[in-house]
Amino acid sequence: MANVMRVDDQADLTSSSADDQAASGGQRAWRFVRRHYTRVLGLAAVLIFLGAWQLASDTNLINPLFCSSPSLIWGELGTLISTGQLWPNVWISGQEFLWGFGIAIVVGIPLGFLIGWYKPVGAIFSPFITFLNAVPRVALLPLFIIWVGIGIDLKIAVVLLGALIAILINVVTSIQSLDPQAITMARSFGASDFKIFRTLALPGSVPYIISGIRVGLGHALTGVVVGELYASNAGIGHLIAAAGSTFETNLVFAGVVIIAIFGLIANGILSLLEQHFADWRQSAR
Amino acid sequence: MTSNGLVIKDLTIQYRTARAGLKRALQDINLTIESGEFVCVVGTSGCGKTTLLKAIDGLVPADRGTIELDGKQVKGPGSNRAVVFQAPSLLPWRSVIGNVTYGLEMQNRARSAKSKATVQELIRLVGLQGFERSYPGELSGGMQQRVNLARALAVDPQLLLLDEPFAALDAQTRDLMQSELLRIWESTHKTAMFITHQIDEAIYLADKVVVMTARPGRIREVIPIDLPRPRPLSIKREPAFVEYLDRIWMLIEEEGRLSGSTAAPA
Repeated sequence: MANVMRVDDQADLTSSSADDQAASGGQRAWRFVRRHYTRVLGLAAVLIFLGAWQLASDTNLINPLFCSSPSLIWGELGTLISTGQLWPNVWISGQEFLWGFGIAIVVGIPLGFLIGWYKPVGAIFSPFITFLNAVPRVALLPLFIIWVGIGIDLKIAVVLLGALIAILINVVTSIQSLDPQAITMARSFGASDFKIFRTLALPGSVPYIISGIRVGLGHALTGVVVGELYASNAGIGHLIAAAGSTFETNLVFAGVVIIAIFGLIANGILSLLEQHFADWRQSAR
Repeated sequence: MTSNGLVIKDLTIQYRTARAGLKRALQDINLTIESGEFVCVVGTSGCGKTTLLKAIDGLVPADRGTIELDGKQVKGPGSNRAVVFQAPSLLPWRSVIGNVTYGLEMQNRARSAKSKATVQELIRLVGLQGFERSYPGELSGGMQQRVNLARALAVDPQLLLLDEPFAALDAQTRDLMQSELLRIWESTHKTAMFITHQIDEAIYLADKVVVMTARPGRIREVIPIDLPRPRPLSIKREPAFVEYLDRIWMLIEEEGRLSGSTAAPA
């Protein structure tokens, strides 16, 4: 009896100390969840969605032939890498994106400043910008094909036009929303036009430029994919189009995942850029 | 050295409105501000106070008459004048130091060691030491106006023009900033012209108060303020101060009644 008691005591002791540890561990986990609950919630939702998808596909609740499944897509991505199909296509799409987007930035920012700063230049360009902004750029694809063919130039042109308009509009807006009182202040100190531009317009336009680039980025990615879907012989969009027409659902999804990763990376770089320029904004909060 | 200070002769300024055509903002303004003097201009809104200040700064051209500062005619903005604007107009992406240096930079004078020392000294003078690296978004309204003042003083102007700089501040901060301004002014000996619609502010600060009337903007009367300096804020409750207050109030009230009965509402 006494023996049993002692054993029980020990059991109690050990179990209670284990409880303590579990409690503090649980508390720590709980605190983590509470602090990051939006992220935890988001992650959980994604995992549950993927799990449900996988389960529905495995149990043939949905037809994997039409809807694929996470594991099938994952396998397809592996195949793309091992067969050496991935990188050439990514490289093609990447080139189209970088050239088109790069030219849009290099042309769009200075041109936007000219249009915003000099009224006559603005008057000349704004009807064209309004027109191009109103027309879905996709509608111009057949024209572009007639002009430059279906090679990489076509996609560069589509990307360029899509991103350029977004960047232009934002840069022009940045000049138009300059604080007139700040300009008066600068003039009262005898500032030249060039100095007003350099010290007021340029730094003041940074947030607008970045948001223009962000909107342009969306247009650029759309441009790459739509251009390749419509007419191409290589690239991720081409991969998707070819897979779609041969009923390779897994490959279509794999292509979508690759484009999503593309977009995420580009957005991440943009966010870093934004943070770099937003020092005074953050400290102002 | 010809005539010292600011001399305005027969200044008339017109502007064009869409509806009423040509209107006179200022008519036949004659005013002399001695070197080192602190002059306040009061009047109802729309009497052309700010136009007068902008004309003196060279931002608005004169249609008739002349403005001379230390014998030199004013034709445009120049480094011998600086404005403290009603809105602080600070650049949000520049720190306090960057903002105070701004005027010097516009005049290509920011790089010299002397300028850098001046900026430091002014930041201390306006009471912002410790905030050199702060951004405008982190400062209160009163502190932002201190930066505004330091920015104007940094270019070392002969004439300091202040356009209702304390109008947007709360009453206590405004009182405090008035006495701070006097302290700073007394240590720099600048000529100052201060625009306001607050009569007590004008009397407290000024050597003389210029009362303006509206439509068209004219000078009604120039009243010398014979109160001893340095002036503590408590001077505002003394009989002599209140007497000035009454007198100027009457002038403006009279004017308000006259224009109220004759002029169409704006």
